[in-house]
Amino acid sequence: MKTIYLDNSDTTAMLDEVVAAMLPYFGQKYGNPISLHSLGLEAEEAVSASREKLASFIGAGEEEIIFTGSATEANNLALFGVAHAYRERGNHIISTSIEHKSVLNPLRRLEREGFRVTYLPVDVEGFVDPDDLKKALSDETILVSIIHANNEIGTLQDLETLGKICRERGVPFHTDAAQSFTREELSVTKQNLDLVSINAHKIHGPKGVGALYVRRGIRLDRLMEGGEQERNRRPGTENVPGIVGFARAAEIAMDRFEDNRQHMRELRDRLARGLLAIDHTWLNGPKGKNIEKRLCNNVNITFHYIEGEAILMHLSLRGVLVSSGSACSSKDLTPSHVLTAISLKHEQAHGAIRFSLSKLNTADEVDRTIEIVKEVAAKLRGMTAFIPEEHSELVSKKAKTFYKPRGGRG
Amino acid sequence: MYSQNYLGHFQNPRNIGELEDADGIGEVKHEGGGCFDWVKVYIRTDGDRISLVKYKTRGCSGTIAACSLMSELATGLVLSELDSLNDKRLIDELNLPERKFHSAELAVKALRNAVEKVKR
Repeated sequence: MKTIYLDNSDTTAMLDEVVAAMLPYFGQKYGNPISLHSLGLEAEEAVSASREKLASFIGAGEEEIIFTGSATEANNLALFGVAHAYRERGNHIISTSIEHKSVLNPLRRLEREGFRVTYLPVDVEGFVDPDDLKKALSDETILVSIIHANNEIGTLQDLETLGKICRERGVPFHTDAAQSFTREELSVTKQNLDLVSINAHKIHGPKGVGALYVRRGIRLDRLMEGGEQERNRRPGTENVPGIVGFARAAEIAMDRFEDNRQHMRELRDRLARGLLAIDHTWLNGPKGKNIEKRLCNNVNITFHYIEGEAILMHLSLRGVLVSSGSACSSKDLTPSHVLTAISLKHEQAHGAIRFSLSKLNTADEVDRTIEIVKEVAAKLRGMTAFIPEEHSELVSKKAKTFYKPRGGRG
Repeated sequence: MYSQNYLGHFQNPRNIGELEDADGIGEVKHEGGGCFDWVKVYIRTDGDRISLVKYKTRGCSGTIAACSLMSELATGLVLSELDSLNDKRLIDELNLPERKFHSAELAVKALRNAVEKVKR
């Protein structure tokens, strides 16, 4: 059975070229970049060249890139680092209700430390209203953190506008760009960004390496104490093979940026069209005139009256690998906070499946997926005991204004 | 990873369907948390025995597997021995992970509700 991998917002397949670029640094080029001898200098040169490449892809200077162990660490470093460094200026932070857990959970901890956090709401497609940001900003605000491309529903925020608002108020603006880096346009100058989190394993690079862009002039406290690596901002010996792989993966992606994005957009729209032809389905996230503001590789569909985890399991047994926002997919049986933030309620959130594409997917894979999903949906709906007409109280009133199931009864 | 028994029942659930002339119907939904699983069980009895079990469910893989196994174990069961078909038995036989314990509870509860209706 051939695997069709459609979980590329979770992680991606590493490219052979990336592995090849990394291999020497596991072998003969094993130096520590901090050492002053030839092996150390060789490693330092590799890290430095990688830093320069990555910086150039987002319009940054090489000294503005801090390598980390993941995007999660980059998010933590940005949030704690800025909050602690600017504490004397104020104690207010602004973020959104649809951030990744690696932003939300540090924010909860900052709240326990005494910081006040405003979580901006989003509309039914997941967009932040810039006016809400303007209203929330105060003299006490020391940081704004808004995710660029949402990992579940693919909403691309208007960073340029949001960043401009922050810049005018002199408030550092951070974005988690783990999903958008090399997939969508990301420019720290054009989009007025002060801090940006990115990582390697979502762009066909290795796991265990990420980076934080920190604009020159932004103060940042360290998370850990140790050596003087990364300009004294992140101690610990650099993951040299990982960093080399990260830069090589980004280089390959950026080399064909437009072609890749167009390819993924076409597959995205083909997949969405095919799946929406199934009765009682709904596309979560931007759609219609807003489709241009949707991450190029994201399709998130609610299959009403069936459970997302059951769909995911059937698909997995047939070789199609996806993810689900269903509560039954999580250990604590709570549905995705992103899906509830866009006004989906219980039943709608439970039937949600995320299909995330990569440049390696093909139209044949998309067509095959549509066929398999049709069969799985029919099978599961054949055994459902849920009669929606009898349980209208479970459909949120706000959602009803845009929620129009297709076709007859499921 | 899930057990072969779990996957077998999930992929090919036994006794799915409805009974128009059921002697008892039991319906439950998962309470608490965000889980939204739903089970409806129909039984036919022959004297003091359950002679036929059917069910419908809107549930996760665990609930589908638990209902399927429940329907097999309940068929032919003497009503007075109903206690022998409990959550633990389904959990053990399917090797359910802890996050799927609610699936066993739902399947058993729906069956017991259906039996209650027969007694009335």
